[in-house]
Amino acid sequence: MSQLSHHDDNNEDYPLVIKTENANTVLQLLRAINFSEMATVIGSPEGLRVVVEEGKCIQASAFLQSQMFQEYHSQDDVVTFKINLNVLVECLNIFGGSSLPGVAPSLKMCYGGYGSPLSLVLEEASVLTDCNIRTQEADDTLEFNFCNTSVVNKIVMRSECLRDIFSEFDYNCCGVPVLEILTSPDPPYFRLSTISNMSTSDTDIPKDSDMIETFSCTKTMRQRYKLALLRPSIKPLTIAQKVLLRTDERGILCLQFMVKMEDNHICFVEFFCCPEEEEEIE
Amino acid sequence: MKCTIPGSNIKVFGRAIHSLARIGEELYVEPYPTGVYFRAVNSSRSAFASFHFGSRFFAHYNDGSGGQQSAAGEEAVKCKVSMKACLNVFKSLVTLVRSVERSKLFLDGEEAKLGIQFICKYGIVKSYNLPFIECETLHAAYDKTSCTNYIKSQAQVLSKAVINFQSNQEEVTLCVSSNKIVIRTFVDDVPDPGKAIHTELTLEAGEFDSYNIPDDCEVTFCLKELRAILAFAEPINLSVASYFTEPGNPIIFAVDNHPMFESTFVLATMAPKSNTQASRNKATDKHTSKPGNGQRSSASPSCSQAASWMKTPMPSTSGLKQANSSTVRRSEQITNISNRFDESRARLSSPHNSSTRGNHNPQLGNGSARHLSTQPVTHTNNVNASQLEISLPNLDVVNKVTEEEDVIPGTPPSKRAKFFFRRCFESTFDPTTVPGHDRILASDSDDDS
Amino acid sequence: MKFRGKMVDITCIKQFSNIVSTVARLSKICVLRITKEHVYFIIHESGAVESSPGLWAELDQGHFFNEFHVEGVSQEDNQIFLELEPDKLSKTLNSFKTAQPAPRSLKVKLTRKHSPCLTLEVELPSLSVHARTVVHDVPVTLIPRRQWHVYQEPEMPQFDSSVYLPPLRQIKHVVDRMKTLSQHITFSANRRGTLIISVSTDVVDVSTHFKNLSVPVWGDDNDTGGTHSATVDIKKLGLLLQGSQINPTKVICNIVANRMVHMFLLHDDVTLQYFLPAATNT
Repeated sequence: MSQLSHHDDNNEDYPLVIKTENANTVLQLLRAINFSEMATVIGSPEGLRVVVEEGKCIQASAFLQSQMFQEYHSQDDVVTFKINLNVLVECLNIFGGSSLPGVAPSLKMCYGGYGSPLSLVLEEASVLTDCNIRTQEADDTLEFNFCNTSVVNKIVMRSECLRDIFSEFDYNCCGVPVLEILTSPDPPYFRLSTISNMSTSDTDIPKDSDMIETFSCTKTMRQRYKLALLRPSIKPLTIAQKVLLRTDERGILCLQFMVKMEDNHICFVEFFCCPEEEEEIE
Repeated sequence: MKCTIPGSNIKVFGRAIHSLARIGEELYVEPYPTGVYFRAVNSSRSAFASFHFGSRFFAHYNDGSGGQQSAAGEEAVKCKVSMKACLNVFKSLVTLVRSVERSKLFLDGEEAKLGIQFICKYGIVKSYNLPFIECETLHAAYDKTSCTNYIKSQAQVLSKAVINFQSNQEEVTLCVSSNKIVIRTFVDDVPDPGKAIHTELTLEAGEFDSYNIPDDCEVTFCLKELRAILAFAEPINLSVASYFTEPGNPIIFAVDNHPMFESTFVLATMAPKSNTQASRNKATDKHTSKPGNGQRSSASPSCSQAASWMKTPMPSTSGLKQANSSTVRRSEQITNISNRFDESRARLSSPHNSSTRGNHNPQLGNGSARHLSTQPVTHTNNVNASQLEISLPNLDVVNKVTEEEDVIPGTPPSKRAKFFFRRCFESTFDPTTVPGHDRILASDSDDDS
Repeated sequence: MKFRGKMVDITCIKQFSNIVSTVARLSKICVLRITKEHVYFIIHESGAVESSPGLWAELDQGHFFNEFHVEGVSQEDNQIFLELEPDKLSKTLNSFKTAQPAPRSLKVKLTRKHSPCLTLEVELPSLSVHARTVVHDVPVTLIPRRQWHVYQEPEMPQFDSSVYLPPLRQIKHVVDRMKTLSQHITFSANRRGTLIISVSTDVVDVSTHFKNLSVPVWGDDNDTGGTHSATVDIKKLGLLLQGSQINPTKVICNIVANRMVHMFLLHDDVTLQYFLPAATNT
């Protein structure tokens, strides 16, 4: 059993020490990318990046910048470790959401370096919870090399619109449903089509729709993705206000979600998805 | 067919789809000049649901039959589509109400698809294409006006009453008398009847808007299906009328909101126990089997008939697996399209099959499909009668079942055979139990081939 | 043997219903014991700690019932013991929780229909002059007198630590999260008002500390000053806490070191005692 830990006196010794008055902001961001059990945490002086991947074809990252914390101490070296994200989310949520609005537990997170656990201390209404979560050696994360110069089409829109559309897809229909995304300077401009054994559907969003803030498409891009791979994007779409949708020459989809936290701080979550192989379909 | 549903009516329409989805796995879409029917039937053929939306329900409606300009015999395309696919389109009523301004539906006979389009806020347009499964229609033979018992109440009264029954309660018995109704759980051959909860609810006649019960009566039917129509009617504060006569005859629940829409649910009721043996033993005309073929008084007389018809030895338990005893008794009551399938194929593939004789069930029609479809229905002057013009299946679309599959001795019948010849596994259909059986709509044609 | 009781107060009916739900969650079978003064729900687990029952709920009959009449086996033994499936009873009472107008009265009777039953007759408001009545027959089994000794009132265990729990809602949140992390949960307390709830696995250690809790005064001098713990099955505890609709006035938690956690939920007219044996393999 862990003893009550008071790390205040040796902050400088720890590779990573983070304090915040509101654990819920961290909880909300990490929950949004929790579609897989394990996550890689990369800590640098700029902040924390938490990465979740699945099947080598999708990747989500949440960026927790150092500015969003009351205190952020990081040594110069980048620290990285792998951790069970399900467990981390449960620990952050130990007080089960606030009973009163505006009341949230405070959080202190420490990482002692290679091999040590991630230690959390959460406190709400003078009840204290102490957690030590085992860490593992980090695997390499996928590098999508998505640079701005190769971006072909770019759309910024209100995320609730895309969330509604993605939530309505039938993920459970038979066969392996596919989502085709068409972005084009010509009509229909922006079309999301699902193709499955039982039916097909098209959702068309005109470029001058109120839901679209920026529409910049240089050429017609039509790309297919396994519908199931896009399902994890629903959670970040739910907490975000805006989403930036980009495709590059290779057809990789990049969604960047802009999330405004309770304290008006802006955080970003990024999502990459690899396209399906091209097939000859009528 | 082409029609447009205004935004204000989408919720009701969506609820109708949800309601139909609780009954069957396939949605039948049947447009006519005055409006369109959406129908479903359950797999055991003991529940039939029909929603009719009149042309006034729509902002724009055209059934596609071309009206007066059409050549003789041309009529609107009718079809059936996957219920699951359709339900998915109308899955979230809340979202639809919030974002859809209007909806367009159309049937494309050439491409064999049902198209649904939602014109939403912010210029967004959603289109769905549901391919036809078949081009066929669905009918049930029932007649509200010939029912002797009639009660009508606010849907709320009934739904608040059924809430007192367990959600997994299969069947209930409605016992009506001159001053009250008692709804009671029906506990049939559950594993341990002594262990089940028995529930009984009493509703006084005063709770009903109309109450016309000339004789005491008890009918047993499936509660789940009643819940489906109540789920539709209650949110819009409509009344539900019930028509029934006696056990063994269907009970009809109807919601009427003329001319916009109306809905009818026809549920089979359990035949009274004493009569079941009698109807089974009657050597009446069997459209799918040889008459007079040694009726065994075993638990599965239907299987022996099926066996003789199929000319293959059949494992005796195969038929019983399909339906429990109550469903077997009830499914006889609703005549429908699969019935006609069996019959037509029976004629096509089994030369030994007896031809039906004089007083056979008129709704079953006969082999020459095309011939009948042009005949208008003139069977009754009663506006409320349910019988519609007969339109027979497009036989081209029907899957042909080859006899070879079933000739191997000892092999259990193939799945498809089980589906198409389902009625062979059920107890003898007695055409005289169907209301209106004595009315001949089309006389027997002699030619079988 | 006869039993007949009538409740007319909707709060009492709901409270009764909540108690039955809790019992139903904890066990498939329970014993209903009816005496002149009380109604008891007993869950007896064979092989339980020191032959104590799993659950002992004691209801003050006078608070719940307006009319109450019991005729037991004999004049001296004016009691009735029935065995039933609480889930069945709970289901019939559940219909009050849904959005229908509150029942006017609830009658509970021992009857013999096709077999012995506990019959519930509910009078519901209706549109007509007469009330709408629903009758539910819940099958029961009569327990013969020779088995009554099994279901006697449990003795208060010789506990080592005792403390008043904080609001059950708080404990419930913590336990619910810990449920996802481990199969067993440890309760540690001293006689000074400190309670620690914790889980410990290969992946994570989590402990929640409650301080300055009230301490019940038992009048014995068993205060060793030390902290005592017992580790119990977390699922069972979770089931008990799920019914926080019970909202007890106070809950006492007694710990018999390494043997048992005993919870004593006190309301004005109902007391529930729950005995959680220590898990055999921690």
